[in-house]
Amino acid sequence: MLKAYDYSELGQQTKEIQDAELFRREKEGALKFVLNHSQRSQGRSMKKRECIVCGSTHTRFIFSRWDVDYLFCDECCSIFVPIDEETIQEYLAIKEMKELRISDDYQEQAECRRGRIWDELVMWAQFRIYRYLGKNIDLDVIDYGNRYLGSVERFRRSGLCRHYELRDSIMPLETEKLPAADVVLYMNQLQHEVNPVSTLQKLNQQLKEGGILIINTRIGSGFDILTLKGSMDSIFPYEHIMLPSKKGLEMILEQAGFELLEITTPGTRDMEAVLRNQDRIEESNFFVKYLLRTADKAILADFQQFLQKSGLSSFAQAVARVRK
Amino acid sequence: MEKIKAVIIGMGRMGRTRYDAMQRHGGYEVVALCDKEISNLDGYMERKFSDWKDCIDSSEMDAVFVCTYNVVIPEIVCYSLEKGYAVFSEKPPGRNLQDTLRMKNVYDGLGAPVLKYGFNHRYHNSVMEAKALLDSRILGDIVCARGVYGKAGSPGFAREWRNDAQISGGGIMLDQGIHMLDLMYYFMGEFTEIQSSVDQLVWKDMPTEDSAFSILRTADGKVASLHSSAIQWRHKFSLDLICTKGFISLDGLLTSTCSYGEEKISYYRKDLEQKTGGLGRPMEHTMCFDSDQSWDYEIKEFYEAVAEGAPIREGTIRDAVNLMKILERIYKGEKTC
Repeated sequence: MLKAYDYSELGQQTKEIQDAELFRREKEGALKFVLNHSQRSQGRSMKKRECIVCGSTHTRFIFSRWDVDYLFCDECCSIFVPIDEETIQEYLAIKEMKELRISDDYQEQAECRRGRIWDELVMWAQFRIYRYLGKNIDLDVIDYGNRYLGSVERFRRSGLCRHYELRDSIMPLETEKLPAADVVLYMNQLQHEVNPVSTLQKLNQQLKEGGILIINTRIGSGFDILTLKGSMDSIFPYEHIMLPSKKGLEMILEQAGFELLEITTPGTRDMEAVLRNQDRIEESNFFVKYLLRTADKAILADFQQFLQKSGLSSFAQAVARVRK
Repeated sequence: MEKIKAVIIGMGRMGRTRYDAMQRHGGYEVVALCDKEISNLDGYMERKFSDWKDCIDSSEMDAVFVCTYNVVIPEIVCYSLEKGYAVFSEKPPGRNLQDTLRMKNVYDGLGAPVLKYGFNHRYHNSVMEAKALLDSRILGDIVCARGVYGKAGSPGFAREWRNDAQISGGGIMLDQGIHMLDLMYYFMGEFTEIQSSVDQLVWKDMPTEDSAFSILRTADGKVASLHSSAIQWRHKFSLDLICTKGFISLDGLLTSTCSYGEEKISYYRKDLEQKTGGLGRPMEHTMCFDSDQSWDYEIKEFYEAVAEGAPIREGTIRDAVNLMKILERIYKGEKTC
């Protein structure tokens, strides 16, 4: 397997990727649902909870957010919330949340803050698709769950797609119906999955022979998540219930019948997140506190590059194809 | 999997490398090994020969791997082809263009049998990524390139067979620089104008060059500069590919000794509006590689040609002739076309 690490320079991100007020409203909606839900705190109360990635029973409490327990798997180092599918489907169907996310204001803010990231993502996808398929035009593409108009439009305009289907999205867009795809995009979706292997098996069946899956996700083995844990502002229930480790993501893909072609952790924001929340870092974490107190910007930038290169950033992207 | 019966002529470092790659592949049965220095065959269980002709005549095989000194490559390749065997030969394809053309004549006369040369660098991960990036045209069209391939030298460097002109045909440019030249040719196409300076700058007592600078130009105006050096004093591999909409940098190369450093490729998009970074510092994308499968990819392609009738894609006789034509002109020190 080709192993590659992809990184970009730190310090160029001038904007938060979320508008503060819109993000507050999103979290407010999630909190309201969680507080009204009876599944809270079941992680600690259940003695042996199987890891939803590797099936190990060596799992333990790692942190709590809004009184919802996140468990850590000692075998594959993934982080997850033990919860049922029905609850997640209810959460994803919250009407106010959907309306907020498809609103013009939300989409415009997303365009403003994430536009450059999407440009880079599309270019990266064009490159990797060409690398593995030998072409990057006129392909049949199924995009799962994409909820950003700007991202959808960029993929549609990129020349990649002969036919494009947006599937399982809250966006009210009419697209074609494809029986199978050369490329399946599954981006920022794994975080909601109660049964990740089963979901990816379904994606596997959507691919044409030789077709590829492009997947990206927050991962639980990243520096910011393992440093900040429950103080990580951007991780909250039930928006994020599945945070596989890098190894865990590899296992999920393997179990779902994929051949992993590459996995990288090109996330650039771990250090920024930790810096922003440094007052919430546990007192016992002497190393990180010392690092933040003594390191200059250049050293922190180097550290972020080290995280990316070493598979330790909390954002992963992978390319896989159906195993023969 | 159908087994290809193969013999290896020359069991120095390259012969052993090919042997190991064939074992990993699983589709080869090595039936005999040959080396003038019979102790090089110690530890191998296959039939052993010290005379290459005796080895080829006495064995039943499908393919011959020629991993010898440059001087005997043409004779063994031609003999093997004429016997009806597929041939994999190490680079360089002989000592000079005349040697290569001799092999081409036999190849043409036999109706294009399977013949592949080991231009192994095309199979390195960073090179394959660069090729995909260029072919995808995400960064536009390549317009120029700068390459440095340098060796540190060694205490006995001047006395190595590689620097014995009678055996090798040339110095560092023919031995190692040919790889960089091949990559430039691979990425940019055929060169029609050449300027060069081939020198003995430090190893004055050596019959071959220790430094070769070349400036090369294609018919459609792409320009490349190449420095092949035995006086780098630290191993170095560096290749910049400049395109109309971006820039690719290959740095380091994974080898068995890891002495050329980590193998990585970085690429940047042209960003004059500073959307992705500060002025002069556009967003950088880098990929590093922790394993070298180049030998395996190469042996796989040869297997597919012999066993399945697939075409040779990399390291064809055409590539070999084109490269040796350029090299001949580099050695002549041409100033213009």
